[in-house]
Amino acid sequence: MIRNNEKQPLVEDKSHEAEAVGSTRSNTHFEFINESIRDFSDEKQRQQFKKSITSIKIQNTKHIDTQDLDSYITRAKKAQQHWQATAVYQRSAALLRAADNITTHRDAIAGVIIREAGKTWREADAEVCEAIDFLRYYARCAIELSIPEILNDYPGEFNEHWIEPRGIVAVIAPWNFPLAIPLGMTVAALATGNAVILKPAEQTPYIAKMLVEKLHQSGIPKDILHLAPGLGETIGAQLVSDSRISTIAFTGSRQVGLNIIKTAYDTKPDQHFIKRVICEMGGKNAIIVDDSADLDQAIVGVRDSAFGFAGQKCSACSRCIVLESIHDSFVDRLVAATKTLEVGDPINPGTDIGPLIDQEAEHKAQCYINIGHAEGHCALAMSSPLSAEPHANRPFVGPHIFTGIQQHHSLANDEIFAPVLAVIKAKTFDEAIHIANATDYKLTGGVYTRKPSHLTKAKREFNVGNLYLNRNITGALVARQPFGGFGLSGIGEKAGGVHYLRQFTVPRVCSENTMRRGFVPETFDM
Amino acid sequence: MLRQTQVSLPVNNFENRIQEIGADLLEDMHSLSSNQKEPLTDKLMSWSMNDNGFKTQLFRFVDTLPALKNSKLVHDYLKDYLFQPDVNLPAGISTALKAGRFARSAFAMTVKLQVESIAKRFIAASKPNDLLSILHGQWQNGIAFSIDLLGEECLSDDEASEYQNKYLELIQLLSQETCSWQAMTQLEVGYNHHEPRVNLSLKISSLIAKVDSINFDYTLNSLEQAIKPILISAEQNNVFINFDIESYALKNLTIKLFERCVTKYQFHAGIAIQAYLHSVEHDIQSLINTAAKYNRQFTIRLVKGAYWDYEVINAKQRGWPIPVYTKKVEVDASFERMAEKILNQTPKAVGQGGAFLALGSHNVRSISHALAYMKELGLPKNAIELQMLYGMAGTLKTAVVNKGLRLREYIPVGELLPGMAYLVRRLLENTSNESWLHAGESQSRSDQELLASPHQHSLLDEANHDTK
Repeated sequence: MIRNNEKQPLVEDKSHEAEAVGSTRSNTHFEFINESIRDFSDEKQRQQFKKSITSIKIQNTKHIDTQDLDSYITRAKKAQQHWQATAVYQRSAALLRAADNITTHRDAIAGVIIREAGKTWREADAEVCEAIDFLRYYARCAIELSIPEILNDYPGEFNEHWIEPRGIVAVIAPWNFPLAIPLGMTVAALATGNAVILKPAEQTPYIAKMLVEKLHQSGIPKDILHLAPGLGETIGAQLVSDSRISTIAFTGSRQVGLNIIKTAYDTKPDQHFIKRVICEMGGKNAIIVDDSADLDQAIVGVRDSAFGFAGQKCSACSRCIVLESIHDSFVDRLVAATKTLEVGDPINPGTDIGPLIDQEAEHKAQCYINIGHAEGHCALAMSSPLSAEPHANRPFVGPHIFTGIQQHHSLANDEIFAPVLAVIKAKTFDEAIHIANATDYKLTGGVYTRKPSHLTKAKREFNVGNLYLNRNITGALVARQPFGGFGLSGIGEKAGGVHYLRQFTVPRVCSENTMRRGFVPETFDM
Repeated sequence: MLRQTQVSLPVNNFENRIQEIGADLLEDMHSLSSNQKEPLTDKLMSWSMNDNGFKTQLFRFVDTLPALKNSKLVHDYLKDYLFQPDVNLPAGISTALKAGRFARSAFAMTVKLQVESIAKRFIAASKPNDLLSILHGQWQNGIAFSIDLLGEECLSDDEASEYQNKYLELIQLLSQETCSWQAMTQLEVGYNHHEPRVNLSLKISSLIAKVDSINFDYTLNSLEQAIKPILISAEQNNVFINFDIESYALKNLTIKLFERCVTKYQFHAGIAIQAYLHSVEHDIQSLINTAAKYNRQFTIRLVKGAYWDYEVINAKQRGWPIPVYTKKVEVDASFERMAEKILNQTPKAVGQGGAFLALGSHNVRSISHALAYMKELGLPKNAIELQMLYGMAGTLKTAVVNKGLRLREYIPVGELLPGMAYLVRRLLENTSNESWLHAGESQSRSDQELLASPHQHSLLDEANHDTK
C-alpha cells in the first residue's frame, strides 16, 4: 500500500477508470486525449496567465554531495521492493493525481519555466501540457502493460508472459524541456514499478524540485523518488557508474550520451546485471522545400521550427534545403519574415525569442556564427535588444541565416543549439533527400511539397525518427507523435509512445506443464 | 425555437410572408433565360461532382497549378495527382494523360487554360484597367462593388507596406474613375444615409506582419497605426472601408480595432460578422453598444462564415470548444436571428447612431426572411443592402436588382497565384451538394425545400402534408 500522509481523493474512481481501460489488451491502443494548450486569443485566459506568472520567484537549489547520493540509492533500493509489490492501479492512481495537481497550477508552473529556462508564453504553456500528458498517458500504458499475456493455447501447457520492474532508474535530464522531459522519463520508470533518482540539469533545478514535490504530494513515496541536484561531472558520473543503478534514462548532448553509454556498459565485479541505457541525443534536422511548396506555409514553418525557443530544441530545424528554382525568392521572404520576430524578455507576451540558457551556449553560438560567415553568406544577423539583458539575466543571440552552405561545411553537420539556420541549395528533390540524409543524426525532418510522389518518396527515403510533411517539425505531442530518432540521435523506444515503458521492465515467461497422469484440467474450449 | 425580437409577431403570418417573398424571387429566377445561369459546365468540374476522391485530387492540383512553370510540369503533376489509389479516373482523362508527347503537352495546356478561365469567373482581372471596365459594366447593370485584394499572406513589414500602398492607390484610382459614372439612385441613396461608390474590403492580417492576440494591446496599436492612413484617405475621398472577418482567433482583434476606429475616424465604416459563431450575438451587441454610445452609423455585413471546416478542425486538434455551430440548419437559424437583431438597430433618422444591415448570402430563404422582417418593421427597400460574390448566383442577382434592391458584389482582385486559395473555396462551394446555390441553380430541389424554415425542422413535413 502507498504510505503517505496525503488525503487520497478519487483513488477509487481513478482506479476503476484505470481498470476499465486495462481490461482488454488490444493492438488498437486506447484513445488518448491531450491536455489543451491555452487559447491566448481569449482575454480571460490571457489575464489569468499573466497574473499567475508575474509573481513567480526562482529559488536557489542546493547541490547534494556524493554521500547524499549514496544514501538516496540505499534508501531507494530498500523501498523499491515495496513499490514493485504495490498494485499497478495504485501507482497509476498516484500519477493521475499528480496530473490533476499540475493541471490545477499549470499557469504558475509555466511561469517557473518562463523564468528559469527563458521560454516564451506559448512554449512554456505547451510544455506544461506535455508534462500532464506524460503522466496521464504512461499511467494508462502501465496498466495495459501489466496484464499478463497468455501465449499460445496448446493442450497440456500454460504459457504466460509478464513484465517486472528493472530496479533503480537514474534519470539524467536536460534544461531545454526542464519539466516535460525529466517528468516523462521519471514517470515511465515509476509507473512500471521502479525507483528513481532524478538528476536535473544544472541550469534548471528549481522546476525539477517542483515536479518532485508534486509527485510526492500525489502519493509517490519519498524514498521511491529522489531529487539529486548537482554537477554532471560529479553527481551525474557517480550515478552512471554506481553498480546498484539498473537503468539510465538520459536526454542531452551527443558527447555526454556517448560517454554515458561507454561507462554504463563497463560492468563492475559487484554488479549482477547489465545496465540499460536509454538515450535521446540530438539532431541536425532539415526541412526540404521544393518548387511546388505553398511558400506562405513553408516560410512560417521553417522560421518557427528554426527559431522557436531560440533554436534550443533537439527537434529544431537547423538546415533548410531549398530547390534551386525557388531558392532566392524563398530566402528573401524568409529573411524578411524572420525580421518581424521579437527578441526579448519572455515574460512579455509579445516576445517570440527569449535568451539562450547561459554564457557557454552563447559562446558556442558565436563560434558557429563566425564559422558561418567564413563558410557561407550571411543573409540575416539579427541583433538582440540590449534592454532585455538585465531583465532576463541571460545572454541573447538573435536569429542568423546563412546561405551558400555546402554538405561538407560545419554548419551543415554540427548541432549548434542556437538560432542559426543553414540554407543549402539542391538541384533536384532527389538531391535534397540525399543531402538531408547525409548527417549522423536521424531525429526530425520535414518536407514542404504539393507533389504527391514527393510526399511518398520522402516517407520512404528521408531517414528520420519523426518526419513532418507540410507542417513545422517541432512540438511533438504525446501519443500523437511519439518522439525519438536513431543513427547518432539516440537509442531506445519513442518517448510518448506505446512501447516506451517496456524499456524500464524485465520481460518474463513461465511455461507450466498442466498434464498429470495423462489428463489435463478441463478448459471450456476443449 | 424562441424568437427574440423586439416586435412580437404572429409567427405563422410572418412565415407565410417569407414564403411569399421567396416564391416570388424563385419564380423570377426560373423565368430568367437559362443562358444567365453559369453552372460549371466544364467537364473536369462535372466529373468532380460525382467522385469525391477525384475532386480532392483535382482541387489540390488546381491549388498547386500556379507554381508550375511549363506544360511538362503541368502534365507531370496532373498525372501524379490523378494516378493515385482511391481516384476513379474518367476514361477520357486517363487516355489523354497516357497519350504521346505532343498530345500530352497539348492536354496539359488545355487543362491550364480551363482552370484559368474558371478562375477568371471568380477573380476579377489583376490589371487596374481591366478591372475598371468590369466595375463600370456592373455599375451600369445596377450592381455596386466591394473590392477584396487577394494576395499572399503578409509575412513581413515590407509585404505589409506593399498592401497598405495598394489600398491607398486603389482609393485614389477608384475615386477618380467613379466620379464620372452616371448617378444610380438604387445604389447610392440608402435609408437615412448615403452609400459611397467606392467600397473596399480589407483584412487585418494584411495590415501588419504579425497579427497575434497573445500581445493584444500592442497588436491593436500596431494595427491602428497601419490602417490610419487608409482611413484618413478614405474619409477625404468619401470611400467606404469594410473590415473583413477571418478566423475566430483574430475575431476579437478585428472587432476591437473596428470599434476603436469608428470612434476616432469619420470614414464610411462597415464590418463583417459571421453567423456561424456561437459568440455572434454577443459580438453584434457589442457593436450596437458602440454605435449607441458614440452616436455612430455603420454597416454590419452579416455572413454565414467561410472558414467552417478550418474552425472545426483547428478546435478539434487543440481540444478547444468548437466556436461554430456544427449543423448547417443552426447556422441558417442564427443568421435569421442576427439579421433581425441588426435590422432592429436601423437608424430612424439621418445622423442617428445605429447599424445598417448588409446581408451577404446567396440563399433565397435567408434573403426573403430579412425582406419580410423589414416589412414588419416598416422599413423601406433601401434600408438593406444585399451582397453576393462575384461570378456566382447570376439569376438571383438579376432578380433582386429588378426588384429595386441595392446589390453589392464582393470582387476579389489579384494575381492567380495568391488567388488560388480563394478559387478552391469557390470551387468547393460550387460543387458541394450542401450548397443552397447549387441546389437552387440546378433545380435539384423543390421550392418548398429551398425555402424551408431553419427554425422548425418539422415545417418541411407539415408542408408536405399540407393540402391547401
